[in-house]
Amino acid sequence: MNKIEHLEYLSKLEFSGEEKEKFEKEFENILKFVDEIASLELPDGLDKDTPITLDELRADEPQPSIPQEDALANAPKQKDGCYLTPLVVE
Amino acid sequence: MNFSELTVLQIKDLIATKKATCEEVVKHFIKVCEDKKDLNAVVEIFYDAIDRAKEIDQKIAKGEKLGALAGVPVAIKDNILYKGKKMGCASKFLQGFVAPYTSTIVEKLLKEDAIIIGRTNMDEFAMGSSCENTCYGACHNALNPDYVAGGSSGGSASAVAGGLVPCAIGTDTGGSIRQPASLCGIVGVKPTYGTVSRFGIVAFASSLDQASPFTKDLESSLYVLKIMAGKDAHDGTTIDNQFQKNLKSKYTLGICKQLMQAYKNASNDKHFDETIEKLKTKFEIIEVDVPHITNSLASYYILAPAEATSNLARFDGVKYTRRAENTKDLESVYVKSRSEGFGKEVKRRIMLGNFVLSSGYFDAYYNKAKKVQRLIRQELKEAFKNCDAIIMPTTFGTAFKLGEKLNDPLAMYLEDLFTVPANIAGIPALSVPYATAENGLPLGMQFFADEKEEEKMYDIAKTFEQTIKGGAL
Repeated sequence: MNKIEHLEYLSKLEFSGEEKEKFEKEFENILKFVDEIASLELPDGLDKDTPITLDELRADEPQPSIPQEDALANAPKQKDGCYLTPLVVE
Repeated sequence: MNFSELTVLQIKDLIATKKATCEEVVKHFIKVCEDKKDLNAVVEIFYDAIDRAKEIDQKIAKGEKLGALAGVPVAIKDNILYKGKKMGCASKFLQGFVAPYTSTIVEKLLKEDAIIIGRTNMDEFAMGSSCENTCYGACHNALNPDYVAGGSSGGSASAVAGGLVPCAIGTDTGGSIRQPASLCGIVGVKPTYGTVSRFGIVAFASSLDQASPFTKDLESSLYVLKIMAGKDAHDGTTIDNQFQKNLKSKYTLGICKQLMQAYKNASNDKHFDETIEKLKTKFEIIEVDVPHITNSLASYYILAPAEATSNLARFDGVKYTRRAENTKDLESVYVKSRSEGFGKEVKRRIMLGNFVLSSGYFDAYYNKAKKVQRLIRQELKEAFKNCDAIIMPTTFGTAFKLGEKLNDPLAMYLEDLFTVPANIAGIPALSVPYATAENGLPLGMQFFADEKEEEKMYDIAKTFEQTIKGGAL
């Protein structure tokens, strides 16, 4: 499996032959651009950024949520309050 | 009276002082939306806005207490939920989706008696800088329809610039409010990260996304932003931004050495330098050093796709709206629905996100970009010890022609060079129109301030406007 095919697999996407060729070219250019980061020399001991601090969490108590039928209303297929999918387990 | 020429605050005052009814104001803007349909800025008009306008008029007639935005029409970007209304993220994938609940920001606007009159065009899932990656067809710049409105919130920007609404809400992950505001000649802001709740807004890159208003003027911009702000139990990343007033009689503006170098390498424009000269009468101007700031863009195109790939995993053909036909098993439901439903740019970013997160590349790209993010944040913090705001152009130039950059994704990404650092650092940034270029289109000036310093940022922008006003720019 080449790189693009592996990414298609991870992304749950598929490209047609012609589309794939064009995409591959564009993608290589974009990778060259973000390579700037991979090749950057950074000072030692630098931590990763953590912009989000979840310091105030609410009490872990059940609270009212949207009704099941509302939550399912946008599903392409549903049955008995569940999302309907092709058979997963034989 | 042409309501389209008025600001949010002027319209609010007209209604409150009974010089205009809410119904006539709303009907006026709906008519302009209809007349300027070809701009493709407003993709759906909510006609029940007229009923809501009548309700507010009754409130006024009865002398009831009015909300802070009573009767003001507001349009929302197509990625913001308003219960019972369609929302599609300008994606084929989500056409037919109806919001099952209302976003916190829309709740806040409604509580202040604003009237939501429609939803606006955008780049699909907010990915783009021209509002051309959209299933509704490209949005046109209200100032010249041959040109792009910018993106991703191009519909909201063009709608305000064209007088279709006095205020429209957008979202900004890497510049998606400030860049279109600049290209359309209006005011656009991105607040400190966490100031505005993201609950009920379709996530693109959750650690960078913020929503805020487009308006014609600074005063209305801050006014609406304050209404939208606040801690929200539904969004754990919201902060208590008190909009502290650290105002001064004289401010120091920093010009970032590295960004100016990038600007001068790519632009011959003289307006910026001429404006800085004028500003020297009112501001102290210094040079500031932010060594890694130009690495923001490459960091952004690692971090944002990484988050997007995860956020967009939910669009799988099972839960939302679209499922491909002729599928044989669950895997093919996922793959076919996503391949048919997503547009090119969204696919590109999902693939890029999976690349930077995949085994063997995670440390070199994602983790490294997170470290660069920390470094840029520290360097900006340091810069703000010496200046009150950093001033720069919002974009390299004016709006470009429709189609001009559509086939060159990298050229489109470079549009974000000056806007992205504010998202990477979580700091507030504001774009204000300041000059007209030779092609007759506006240029925007951008201000960065330290976190939670929005009041100071607006005060600086106000002094800036007063200083350049009347000049031959």
